[in-house]
Formats: sequence, C-alpha cells, structure tokens
Amino acid sequence: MNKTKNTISAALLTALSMLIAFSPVKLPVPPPFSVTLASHVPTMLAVFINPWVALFSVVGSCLGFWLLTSNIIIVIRAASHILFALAGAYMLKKGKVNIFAVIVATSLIHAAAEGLIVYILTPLVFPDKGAAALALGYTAAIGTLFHHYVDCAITAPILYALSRAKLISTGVFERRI
Amino acid sequence: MLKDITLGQYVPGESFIHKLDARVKIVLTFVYIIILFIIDQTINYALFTIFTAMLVFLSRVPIGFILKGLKPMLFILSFTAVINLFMTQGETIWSYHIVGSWSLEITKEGIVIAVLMLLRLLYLVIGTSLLTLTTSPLMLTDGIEKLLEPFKKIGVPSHEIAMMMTIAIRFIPTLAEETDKIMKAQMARGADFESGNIVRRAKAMIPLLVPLFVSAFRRADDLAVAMESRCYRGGDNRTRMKQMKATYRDAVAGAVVTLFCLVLIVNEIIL
Repeated sequence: MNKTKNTISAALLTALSMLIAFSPVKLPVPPPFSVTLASHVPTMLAVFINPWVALFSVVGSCLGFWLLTSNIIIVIRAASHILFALAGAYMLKKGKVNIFAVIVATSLIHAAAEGLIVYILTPLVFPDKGAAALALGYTAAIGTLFHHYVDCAITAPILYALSRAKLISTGVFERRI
Repeated sequence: MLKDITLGQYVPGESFIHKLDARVKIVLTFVYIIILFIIDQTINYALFTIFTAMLVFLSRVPIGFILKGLKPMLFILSFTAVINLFMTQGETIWSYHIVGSWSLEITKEGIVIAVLMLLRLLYLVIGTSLLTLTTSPLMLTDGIEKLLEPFKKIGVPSHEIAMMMTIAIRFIPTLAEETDKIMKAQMARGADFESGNIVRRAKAMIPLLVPLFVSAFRRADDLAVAMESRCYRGGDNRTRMKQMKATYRDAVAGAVVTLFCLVLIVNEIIL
C-alpha cells in the first residue's frame, strides 16, 4: 500500500507542480527572470512525506515540463530542485532537526543550485561573457532564496491543514494538534 | 484560465516521424541536442538548418504549431540576440555615442555570434518540440519506461516513473477544473489573486491552495485503495495492450542521423 500510495502522491504533486507553473499569479519582476508564486509548494510538501516521493515529484515535474513546454531550460532548472528536495527530506527523516534549520539549509542549497545552473547555461547562449554569467548567476541565486522563503510561508498553512486532516504525517504540527 | 492548458502538444498524424518508435525518437532527440551544442562552424549551422527544415517537412506538423511553441521563448531569443549583438568585441561597423565613455557598438563578430546563438536556441526548441508534437504523452512515458528498463538493475524504478507520469497527465485536467472552481468561488467572495504586493498575493493564494491540496491528497488515498483492491503490485509481470516494436523506419532514421552527425563532426575537425 505504501509504495502505491507514494507513487500516486508523487503523481498528484507532479500534476500540481505543472498546474501551478501555468498559473497566472506571477510577480512583476524584470525579465528574463520570472517568479511564479507557490511554484515550489508541491516539492516542499513532498519533502515532508519521504525522500522517495520528494525525488519522484521532482523527476515527474521535469518530465512534465518537458512534455508540456519542450523548454529544456525550464526542465534543467526544475531538475536542480532534486538537491534541495532530497537534502530536506533526509534531514526530516533523520528527525530531531529544527524545522527552521531545514528551511535555511534547503533554501541555501536551492539558491546555490539555481545560481549554478544559470551560471553554467549562460555561456551556451552568451559566449565569452564570464562576467555576465556570474552576475546573472548571483541574481538568480538571490531571487531564488527570496522565492524559497515566500513559498515556505505558503507551504506552512497547507501542511498544517493536511496534518489536521490526517493526510500527511509531518512530525512538525502533530505535537501542537 | 488554467482549464486551457493543452496536455502535451501532440498533433495526431501519419507522417514518417509520427510512425517512428518513441524510444528511437527520444534517443535521436538527445543526439540532436548534443550535436547542436558541439557545432561551431557557420557551414555546420547551414547544414543544421537544412536538416531541421527537412525534419519539420517530414513531420507534416503545421508550421503554426511549431511557431506557437516558439512564442514563450520569444523574449529569451530576442534578449540573447540583442546582448550578443551589442556586447561582442571586434571590428566595429556601427556605433552610437550615448554619454561620456558609454556608446552602443555593433561589430562584425557580434552579428555572427548573435545569429548563431539565436539559431542554436531556435533549433533547440524546434528539435524538442518535434518530439512532443509527433508522439502522444502516453507513448512518450512508455518509451521512457522502456529506455530506463536496463537501469532497473541499479534500482531505477522505471515502471513507477512511467505510472506516475501517466497518473499525473491523467489528473491535470481534473485538478485544473477543481482549481478553476475554487478560484471562482474565492473571487466571488472578493479574493484578488493578481494585484497587491507580494505579502497580499501570497496570502490570497492560501485559500486557493489549501482546499486544492487537501482534495488532491484525498484523491491519492482513494486511488491507492482502488488500485490495491484490484491487486496492483507494480511493474512485475505486467503485460501491455500495445507492444513497442522498432521497424525498418527506425533503422533508416538512426542511420540518417548518425551519418549527419559524422558529417558535422568531420566538418568541425577539418575546418
């Protein structure tokens, strides 16, 4: 039952990831950057289920974005979420870790991974522009850090509601309920 | 609205490319992307243009669908071209003095790099779009499952990945409809999702996302019970209604792409 349920949970979180990515609720930021509010929420929730669901929902989102948009850049950036999702899921699995420590650690990993992706991909379209790649990488990393905290704030009430409905066992809210 | 999301971009058809095995198409698409990032010579870009045009012609996908796929990339494409055009050092052919030591310059090398990088991004999108335009999402997930099968030995759960994708694709319209209903209900109560500062927008998202996720997790529970009660046990010993079979077409496609890659690599080495 557990494996089947994990597969289905990962599938529905994948579907929600794709759905939120196409949501009209975007923050007005100067292009080429974009911020879709709550786009990381499904991955953050998967982190609280277990590492398997976290990994699967990220892989699913990558495949889903590829099927829906064919935009390889979106797929690569989505793939970078594997690092923070797995790190967060393993930290929570180990237990006895402060939730705020998990949020800070995952946000730093997330920001570093996205910044690195932008830094690596920029020379593919802007050859000989090392300085531009570095600047874009830093901007993406700082933007991601900010976006991560906003999405964490959106995830908290959803997680609380799911815990109360006994649909997810997080170990974070149970003691208070 | 969210209900308008197209599932994949599949355009049904009977062309040579449509009839290719999904596994072959996935592998050849990866080869296409890799070779696109290897080439650097102008002659190779010209050959690549002819090859991509030939693929589009063979796929018989209306050009409008391919151009539609380029629409979201329009900003990135123009941004890439403009930055490369004005920021590349070299032999100046046009300049405009702005203020102090600041001036806009277009160089010969800038024009070449801007065009080549624009083509690289353009072909990247067209190449990957052709795969999703000519293969149904279900065939693609089946193809991915088959391609990942050899990795089962090292623990890659290929069947679970394919099953997850199939369920995700199946549930997108259902969840989109539900999101639409919740959004309309919240808007009727005065919710505003598209204005205000970040805190206001984040707060507005919560009454939308909480019922959506709770209902999605309830669905996950119900579906798991339904599947288990029908004796679903994962991928072992499962049979398929449609078996994937590579034919002479796939061999021809593989040979043509290999030959084309060899020509490009030889050009890169010689020129």
